[in-house]
Amino acid sequence: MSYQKRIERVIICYFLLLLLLFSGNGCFFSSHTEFVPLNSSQVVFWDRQTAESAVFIKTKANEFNEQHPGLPIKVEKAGAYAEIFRKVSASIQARKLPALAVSYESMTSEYIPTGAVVPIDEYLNDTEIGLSKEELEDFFPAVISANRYSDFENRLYSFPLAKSVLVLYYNKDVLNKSEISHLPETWDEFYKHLQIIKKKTGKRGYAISIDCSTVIAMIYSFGGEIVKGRQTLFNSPETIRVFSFLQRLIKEDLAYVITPGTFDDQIAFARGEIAYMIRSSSLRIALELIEKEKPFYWGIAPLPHATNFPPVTVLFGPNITIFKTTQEQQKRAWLFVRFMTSKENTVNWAIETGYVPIRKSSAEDPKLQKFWQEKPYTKVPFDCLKFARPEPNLSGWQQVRDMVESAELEVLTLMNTPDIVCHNLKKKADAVLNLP
Amino acid sequence: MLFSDRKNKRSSHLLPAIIMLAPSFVILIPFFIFPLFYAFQLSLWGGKRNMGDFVGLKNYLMAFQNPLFWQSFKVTIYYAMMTVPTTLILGFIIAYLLSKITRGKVFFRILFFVPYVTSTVAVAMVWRIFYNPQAGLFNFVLDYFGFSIQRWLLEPRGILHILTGGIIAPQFGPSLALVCISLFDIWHTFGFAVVVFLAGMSTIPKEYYESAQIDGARPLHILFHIELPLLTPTWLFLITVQLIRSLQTFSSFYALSPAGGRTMGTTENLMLHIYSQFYEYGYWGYGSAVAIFLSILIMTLTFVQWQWARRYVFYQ
Repeated sequence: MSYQKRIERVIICYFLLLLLLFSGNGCFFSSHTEFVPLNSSQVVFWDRQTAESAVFIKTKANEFNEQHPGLPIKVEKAGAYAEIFRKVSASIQARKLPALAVSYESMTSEYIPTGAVVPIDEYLNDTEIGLSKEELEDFFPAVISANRYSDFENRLYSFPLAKSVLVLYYNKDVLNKSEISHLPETWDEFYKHLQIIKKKTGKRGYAISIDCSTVIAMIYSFGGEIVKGRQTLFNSPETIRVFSFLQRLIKEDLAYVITPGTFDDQIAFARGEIAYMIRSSSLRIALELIEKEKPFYWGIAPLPHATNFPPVTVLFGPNITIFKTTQEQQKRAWLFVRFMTSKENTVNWAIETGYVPIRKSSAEDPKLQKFWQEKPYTKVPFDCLKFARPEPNLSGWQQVRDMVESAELEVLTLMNTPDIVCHNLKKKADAVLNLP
Repeated sequence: MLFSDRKNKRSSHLLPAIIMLAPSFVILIPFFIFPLFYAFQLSLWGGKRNMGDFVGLKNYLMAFQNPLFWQSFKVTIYYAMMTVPTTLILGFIIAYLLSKITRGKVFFRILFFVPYVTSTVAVAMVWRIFYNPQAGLFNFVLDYFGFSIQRWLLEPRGILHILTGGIIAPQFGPSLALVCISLFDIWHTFGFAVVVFLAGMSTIPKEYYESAQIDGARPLHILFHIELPLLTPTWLFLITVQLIRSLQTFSSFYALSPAGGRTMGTTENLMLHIYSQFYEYGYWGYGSAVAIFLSILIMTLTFVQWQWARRYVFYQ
């Protein structure tokens, strides 16, 4: 055998050996080690807030550290939600975690099966550091129930932090030009308004932002439900009605679709090119900033609903998840959560940012009442909390959200009829939710 | 005796060879060989955001049964078919023209190369504005000349459907959104082909041109009988590099594809499919299986290319 051949054989054997090694039972992974904190001398909190909200959280963290001696809370901006999700996922694998992180329900439901999340019930019911029954009842039921995970024994694995609701923004200038004097309460009225706007101004009155939460809110508003157990109800008549309604707006050139992930609707809204925009109530801060540059008249209204159905909207906004680190860090993390969601802080949070206070008693606060008097439209989201409903928080929902948005685009680009789209969506979503 | 001498000679070459190869192995082992085998190992396990249970080749079977995998595979092939030939032919034409001009050669060379060295994400953001259906440059131009405006990156219907006025089914062929991404990538990368072709052209000995001119050859004869044959190694290099790049493109797809849904999957190539399955949805095993499949695909195509090249590539 030649020298070259022998070398080739050695290399092949080496690679085969590597293949054998790597296909073995996790030889390079240690899946049984304990979770450890990212920083043993600080309670690290991964947050995503920017501008006023970020300043508020940092100020509050400093205030907490002064009032509660012990391991200090350190707020770190960890990027947008998607980045935080990826970073936490990687940290779980590395078994090195922050003490707290902001997360949507769909994110938390992905973390729970890894065993990295601390159930909050044990702190909540603690006689010394927990919340009393009265205090707990002071929270709007929807904001708490959104954090109970039916897939995981209905336990509370996250706690509400910054909440907002889906609302209808209206541009008064465009409505005045179209001689529309009242706001739409139902989808039929909304449709009629768009027809009038088109007739009077020649403009399409509504810019559609492709968004799963908006579709879900609309399904609720048509009297529909989203899931039953682990089966979706996307083939329900209500879902088909929602997609048909949206497709009709496009077919009749009464609305248009903006590029997902952009705020093109906000720009068009501020420029007076559209009359309506359906977005999270937390967007009001951005509109107020634009208003400072170029004044325009606008307001906030509850989301329209189908005729003969009660008003409803979807609950937005992140929660806080506490991760397994050390007993001391976990306790400090909970104390910080409790501090942040105190009545006083939820009031300040609502005034200084675009979010809504999550406690019912906030409404009695003189500071907040004064603020609502000065800016009446800021009270609308708070009033909507009474009938706000969360999205499902099943494991795998993150993937279903993308499917809903893809289905919405399919309808809005007239690729298929709503009926076909809804049936296909149900099939695909059910397959994801029922993976072994 | 003679055999022993050869053996000693080879042994004496072994140590310098190992020493010289060591720096490349320092890079290859942690950044290429280890991740490759790590991905292979992950692909045999079935957990979500963790290793889970050993499932053998089940993730590979799942991929082959998954319509989304085949959709992204189709997108990858369409993309490679649109970008590789166009980039190379365009690059060659421009390089050929540049090689013939005497003034401003450096300026044009820089001009064409600038897009290639600019950050993909940064320029993709500018193109996103151009493609904006409401206020973008492209729709402004179409509208100005009286054509119907398009949804560009939001359009899942096939380009052939649009061009034929609906005769061809909308699901057939690449979507307009994918064509938009391909156009961006052609613009972004053809400068590299220009520079490599120019470098290749500069290596052709002047004597060949002089002999051809003496024999009365015309420019087209020179192009087809001297320049193109002598540039076959350059073509082979560029085809190999561009094909691998086109199968692995991520940044432009990620930056230009609308978030969520990715234009109904018509702009989700294999790389984005791996990314979404692995990072966004947590199917580590499945994502790794598709990644291994892509690696095997790239290696096979490269191998086939090199075998084919043996017959057609002409080395001086």
